[in-house]
Amino acid sequence: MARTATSQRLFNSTGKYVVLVLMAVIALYPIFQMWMTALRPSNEILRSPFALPSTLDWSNLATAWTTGRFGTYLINSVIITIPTVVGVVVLSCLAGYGISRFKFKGRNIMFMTILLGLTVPFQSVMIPLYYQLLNMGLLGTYWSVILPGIAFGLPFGVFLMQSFFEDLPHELAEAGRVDGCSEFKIFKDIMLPLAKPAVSTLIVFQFMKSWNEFLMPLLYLQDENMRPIPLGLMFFQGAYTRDIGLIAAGVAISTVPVIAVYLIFQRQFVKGLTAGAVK
Amino acid sequence: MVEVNLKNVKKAYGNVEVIHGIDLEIKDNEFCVFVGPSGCGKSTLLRMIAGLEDINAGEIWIGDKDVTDLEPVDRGISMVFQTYALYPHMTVRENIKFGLEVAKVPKDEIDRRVADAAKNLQLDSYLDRKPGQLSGGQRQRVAIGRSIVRKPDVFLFDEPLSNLDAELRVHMRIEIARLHNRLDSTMIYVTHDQVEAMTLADKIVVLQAGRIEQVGSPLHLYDDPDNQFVAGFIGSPSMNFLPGKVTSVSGSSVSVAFEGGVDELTVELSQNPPAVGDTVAVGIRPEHFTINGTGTKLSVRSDVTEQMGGVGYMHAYTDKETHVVAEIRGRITDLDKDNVVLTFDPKQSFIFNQTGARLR
Repeated sequence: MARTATSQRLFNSTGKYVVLVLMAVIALYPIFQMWMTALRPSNEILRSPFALPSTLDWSNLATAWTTGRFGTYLINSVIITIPTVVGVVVLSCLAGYGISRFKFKGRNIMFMTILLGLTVPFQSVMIPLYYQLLNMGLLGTYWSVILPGIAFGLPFGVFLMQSFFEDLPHELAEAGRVDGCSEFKIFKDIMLPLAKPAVSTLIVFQFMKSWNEFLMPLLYLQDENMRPIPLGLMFFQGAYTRDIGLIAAGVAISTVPVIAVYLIFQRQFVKGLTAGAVK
Repeated sequence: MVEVNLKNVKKAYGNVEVIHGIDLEIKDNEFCVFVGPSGCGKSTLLRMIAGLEDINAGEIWIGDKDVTDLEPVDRGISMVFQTYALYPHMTVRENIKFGLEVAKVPKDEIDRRVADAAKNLQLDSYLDRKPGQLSGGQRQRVAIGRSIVRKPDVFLFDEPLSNLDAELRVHMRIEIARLHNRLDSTMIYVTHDQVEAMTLADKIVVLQAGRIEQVGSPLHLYDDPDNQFVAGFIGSPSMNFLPGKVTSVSGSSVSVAFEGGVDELTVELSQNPPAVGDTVAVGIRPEHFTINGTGTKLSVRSDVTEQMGGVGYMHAYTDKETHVVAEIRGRITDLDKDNVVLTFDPKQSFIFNQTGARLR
């Protein structure tokens, strides 16, 4: 009887591991394959596309960086992504906290209106936005991608931060008031440090979203020198259609910052995803 | 001298008034406990004194200062919350000194006060830990430490022991009593646990539905309750109430036939005696019963007996199924469970009229 129960447990845990390993392989294999393709000599790729490289060849990465101008694209992506992420995170934290903590007239309507932004696809506003940016003299500047990027990031950001702040015990803010804190100090020194998991989640989400943004820079940034990575990658792909190794190298370079940001915030990110699930 | 005075204080949420004009005077160095059932407004009243809830009418005075419109920090109070409300991302030391830093107290003074508090509350070895690494009792002590370093005029406690287990609760109760003796400060304490109220308080305020039912020392409320609510609320196990009817009134002498009574109960009621035929409730505390003793007799059927060793609690029912608890000293043995006669001294019973007011 005991033996049956033990084997049942062993089978269950083995089964779990098999499923988890399978999922991990499915998720990681494309990245692995991309890096392997980028790191092998071009003549090997067509001969046996899925084999491991005989030697590690870094020349594709070097060529992509210099010939493909990935260095420039990377800087452009950073110039666009960082202000967008900072804008979305700062405004979402302030708005989310304000909506969750202060009871004022029209609070629900305001929150619902912000959430409505989640349902608006970029495609439905891209043409009016084009003319608006043109009239404002922002077309062709980094602001033409940063400002709409912040606007489109806010609905999710406010929603995430509002739900997180809502779940924090309100006694903490009251203890802060008894301790003599101003409302801003309560936010900055008590509540915001506790919202680290949600802020990390928002940083990762927004970073990925802005980093991978394609349509907005395609429409609003016509200057080749201002192209971010996804756009650069497209033109690069067009120019070197047959050099799969070089394209893989370009793609590999573009994923490094996203992977790095994810790894930095990974622990907090998981906490943020499960926040509010249990008290 | 730090007295707390509430003058006709009212609180409403929208159109619903929850505190109905409370007048209360809490003396300097007094340990005042607010008790009452859930939703009676005791925590709301405490939060109004703290300045965490606005009031709709009336005035709150702390010492010689009208604090009605002042922020919590300007009222000279500190508060220990039910959930402790420790800042989870700060260490014990940072939690204790946070309020002092906000008040811009000089650093060496902060260090001195934190060290004093840590020593008094035996927190020295935990100062660099985060609240999440502490037990419930230790967290409670940190919350108290955070409160005392600010040297407030008035300490406010909002059910501070309700999250602790029974043993720790008794221990912390004694700690709080010691703290009051040591600090000689005015303390206001909210609880629904009447053992805490009885053991800690100099003065108990019994609240019900946003109104004060009675104010007095613990024993005064126990011995001389103004109404049926206070009589039932103070004392554990609670007072037994048996429905009855006035059968005769002769001067101040009133006879009552009551449920389960073998004979009529005759008591002296000098003020507002009832009329013949009036419905009343007869109140008898569990410890005033004896089995087969002398005095007025009550016939019951015994159900369950809880033997605690030195004392036993007999749960019984009258013929009309009214629940009665009798506290019996010593062991309860050889009982004919279906025919138990409990006796009590009529002078120790209470009579309440239909509105619950005590007839004296």
